[in-house]
Amino acid sequence: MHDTLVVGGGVMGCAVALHLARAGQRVVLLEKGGLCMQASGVNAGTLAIQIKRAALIPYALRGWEMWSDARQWLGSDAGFHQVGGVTLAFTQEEAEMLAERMEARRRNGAPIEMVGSNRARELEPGLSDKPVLASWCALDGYASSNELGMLFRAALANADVEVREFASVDAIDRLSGGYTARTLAGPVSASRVVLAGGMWLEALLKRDFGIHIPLICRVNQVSVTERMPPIMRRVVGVATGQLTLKQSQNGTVIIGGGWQGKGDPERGGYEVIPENLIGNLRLASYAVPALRKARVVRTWLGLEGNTEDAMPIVGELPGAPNAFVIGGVRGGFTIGPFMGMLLAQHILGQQPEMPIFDPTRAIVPSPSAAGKTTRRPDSAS
Amino acid sequence: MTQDAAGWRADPAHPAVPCVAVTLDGQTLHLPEGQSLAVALAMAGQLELRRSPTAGTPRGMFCLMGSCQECLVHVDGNAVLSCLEPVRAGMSVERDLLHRARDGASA
Amino acid sequence: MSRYDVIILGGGPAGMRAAITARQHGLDVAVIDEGQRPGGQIYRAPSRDLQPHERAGATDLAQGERLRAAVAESGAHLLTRHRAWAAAPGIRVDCIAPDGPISLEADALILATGTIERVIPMPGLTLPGVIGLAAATILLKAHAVVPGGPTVVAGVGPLLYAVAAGIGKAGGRVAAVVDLLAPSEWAGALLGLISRPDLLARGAGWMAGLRRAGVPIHHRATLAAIHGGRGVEAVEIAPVAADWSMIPGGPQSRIAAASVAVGHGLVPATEFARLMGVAHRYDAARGGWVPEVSEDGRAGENLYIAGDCAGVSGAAAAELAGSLAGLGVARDLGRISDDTYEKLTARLRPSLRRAQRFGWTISAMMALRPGLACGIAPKTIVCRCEDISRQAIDNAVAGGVRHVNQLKSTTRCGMGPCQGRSCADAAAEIVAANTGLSREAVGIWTPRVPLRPIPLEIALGDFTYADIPWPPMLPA
Ligand SMILES: Cc1cc2nc3c(=O)[nH]c(=O)nc-3n(C[C@H](O)[C@H](O)[C@H](O)COP(=O)(O)OP(=O)(O)OC[C@H]3O[C@@H](n4cnc5c(N)ncnc54)[C@H](O)[C@@H]3O)c2cc1C
Ligand SMILES: Cc1cc2nc3c(=O)[nH]c(=O)nc-3n(C[C@H](O)[C@H](O)[C@H](O)COP(=O)(O)OP(=O)(O)OC[C@H]3O[C@@H](n4cnc5c(N)ncnc54)[C@H](O)[C@@H]3O)c2cc1C
Ligand code: FES
Repeated sequence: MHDTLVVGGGVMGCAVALHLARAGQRVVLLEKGGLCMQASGVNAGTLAIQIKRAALIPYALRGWEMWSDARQWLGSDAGFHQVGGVTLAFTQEEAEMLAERMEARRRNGAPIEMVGSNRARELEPGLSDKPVLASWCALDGYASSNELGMLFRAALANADVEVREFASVDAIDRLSGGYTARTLAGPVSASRVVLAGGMWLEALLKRDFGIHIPLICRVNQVSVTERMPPIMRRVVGVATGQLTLKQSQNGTVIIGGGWQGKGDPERGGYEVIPENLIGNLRLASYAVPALRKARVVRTWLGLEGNTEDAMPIVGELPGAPNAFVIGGVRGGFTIGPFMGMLLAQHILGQQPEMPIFDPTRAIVPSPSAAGKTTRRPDSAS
Repeated sequence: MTQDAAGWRADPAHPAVPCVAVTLDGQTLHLPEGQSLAVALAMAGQLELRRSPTAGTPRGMFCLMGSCQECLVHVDGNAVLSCLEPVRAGMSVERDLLHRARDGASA
Repeated sequence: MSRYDVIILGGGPAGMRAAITARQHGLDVAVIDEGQRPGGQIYRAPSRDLQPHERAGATDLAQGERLRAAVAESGAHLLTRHRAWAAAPGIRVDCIAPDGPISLEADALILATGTIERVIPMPGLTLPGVIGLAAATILLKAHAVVPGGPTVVAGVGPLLYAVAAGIGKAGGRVAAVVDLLAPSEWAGALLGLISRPDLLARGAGWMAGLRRAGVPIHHRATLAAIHGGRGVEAVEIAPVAADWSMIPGGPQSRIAAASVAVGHGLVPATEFARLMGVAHRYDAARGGWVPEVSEDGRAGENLYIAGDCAGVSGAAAAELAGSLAGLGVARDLGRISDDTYEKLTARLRPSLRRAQRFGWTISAMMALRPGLACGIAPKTIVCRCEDISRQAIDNAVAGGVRHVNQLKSTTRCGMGPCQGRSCADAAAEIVAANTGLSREAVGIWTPRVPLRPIPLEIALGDFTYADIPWPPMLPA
């Protein structure tokens, strides 16, 4: 019997598993596909403090620190690069919004400075002459999400976590003193369970615990160009948060910003909406005109499951002792490693370094499971 | 040159096509108008169109149908597949801008 | 947005015949093709006019011209030089046209995108002067150009002999033909080929011509390596076993060459079908991954798949499959009754089966055998776009990779501008061989739009800030 069973091998699940195992627990992780092949491996990799929500800035700063220090805990720098970032306003209205939003983040500790359009172009010579105002944060950067699965696989193996990939959890049963996950390859038991299912968390909670935490299914679009000569050096964003743009070391330019495609948890992201692709690319080229000479070679979609308030849920499930949940936050690549550490601290009975996020706030009485939100998991199967 | 070592050339049974002037990396060449640019460059002895992105090995046209992307060049500043691009008078063809920018940056 | 009854993606024999049939039943038809003119691969239109004496002997040419004339007269909208990059149920197809992006809508879609060529890498494959075997047919047919001589023609299938004979006929010199198959395998296939005596005779003619010209033909042999610095200088020919693995210590011979045409079979171009969510299965004898379709090519609601992209079966079968798909759409859209459909298709099906028997015999001969990719040497480049070697793939599998999507994200194999078309088969074969899993289990790369790279200069057009279709903003 293991100490902890982690369901879901994205950045959240892998980080919890790693920290628990390093603290001496016997951990097993079950992943439906390969490690970090969903949101955690297909995200844009932007580590931009400037685009994090004001309330999460302290967490984002710690998450950023962990990425900058990835060699230490992950065994590789994970393609981390701190290049600094500019966030742009193209209209007067956007300028006001930018100033207001950045001020809120600054108050919470983000080292952000407002700069005029000339200074912005000095900082990022690739910019067009369109911005009227910009903000600057020297911390902003990126890491390569596509390598994450491989890196976690090695790190988890080193920490003696038993990782089972291509092992979908079909049900979780409560037993005396623990939980058993049913998989095609047989049952797996542990004293605790951590649900880290990303967008699939909603279904897992409903199916196995009768708990309804609605998640908004965001079907985020990211595009990449073929390799280009250097055209920019910073992370570039916009006041509304709808652009992230950077040129990686290999010359490809990664264009994101949360534009939406079609998708759902059953089929994944299945259809890019051409208007949204063109819109995202137009905005990108409006900021950095040299992109007009690029060819886009690939656009993909990934599912991000956000709570109603887009804030994290990290903690124990009400009415289900020793069952924990982690996820729900928007932009969770940046803070994922830190959230995983916080939950591990909580599970290990330590005082988490920062307050965790009680999932109770996100639970709604579900019509189908009316009155069952506190149903005991042992009656759920 | 013996027949065996002959370059890429038109089937002699085909009528000759008028040639037009284009520039290749700044040098003037005369190529058959309307011919696929990649094929016309091969006939002019220019098989090498680019270098691979990391190892820098020479590359040339391979599939001739717009699939492999090995024949990418810049025509008047825009990235085009030379196998599908007809030769036009006055076109300015540049090869391997990726490496030339890198070489320039490190020079 | 332009709207049609049916969009046909691909203007080869399948697409042209589908268009002609759909027009006969009054449908408003658009044919999309990236070529300068319709024709597809076998009937690729010459880029210049040919002289009369040449037209006389050119069988493919005459049939191509007939089809081109018929489709032009049919009243179908021929959208040539349109490169499709996305398709969605609904039906919607997005293209890059010469003067900008365009979206088309329709009630039905027929996919007739044909094939691409498989080339399993060997050292030197990426040298300038090495081209695909199928590419060589384009060079000869559409451009009337012969590769720099002497040329080594290598690989598998009838294109080997078509290309070698074609080069000779056009005044080039073939140094050698290197055929993976043994003569007995060709002989063994005769039964399946007998239904097309005309094509058999043509093949025999190619062989006789090569013999007369004294071109050495190496059977059960492969190119162990292509040598050269900045271009081709020589090739190494080595014997292979029945599974196409090189025989260790077998006698190798080195011959001088200035160019190489090499190809290891044709692979159905299934990316659009996969993008549309059609289920696929792996069938090596039909070229690889093929869509699940009915005998009449129906793949789903208002979606048909016809020709080689549904499984390699050759040009004659492609035309018949195109007709069936055209009739299927006419019935689905209420232009012909079920009875009429049954009557018309009943006549076509036997001919289709006959044509398929021939085509499938050929594609089964070209089916990839495990030894070819297994033998790729560690340093050989597999993914030409990203310079990813066999060794890098081996390392990834040793590090836990079990699916080609994982391979792609961990190594960048298949992530370059060709979008994995060039290396898909070789990479999947290596992952399958190293893990012991089946080709089905190691999967196929998830198709990603744009299915062809799109140049932003053309795709974005002129726009102002107000033209950006902003999505709703999220809470800060
Ligand atoms: C396209 C895109 C771009 C993004 N860009 C950024 C960015 O630039 N910066 C940033 O900070 N954040 C970004 N994000 C957000 C970030 O990627 C996510 O918040 C984060 O990766 C979520 O991690 P996760 O582990 O919770 O979820 P996931 O990575 O989705 O992992 C959940 C895992 O659970 C598995 N699972 C589900 N059900 C089961 C089951 N029954 N049995 C076994 N396993 C199961 C899934 O297969 C999956 O692997 C982006 C997200 C997307 C989708
Ligand atoms: C390069 C090549 C050469 C060949 N030469 C011969 C030969 O000489 N003799 C022979 O018997 N067989 C040959 N074949 C096999 C031959 O393709 C088939 O037997 C036959 O042509 C199949 O017909 P089809 O209509 O299914 O597809 P094709 O003839 O391949 O037609 C498919 C069409 O779809 C178009 N298309 C595909 N994708 C897109 C897109 N994204 N946007 C717009 N248009 C698109 C292509 O331009 C093409 O015109 C060749 C195959 C290839 C790949
Ligand atoms: S030669 Fe392959 S795309 Fe041009």
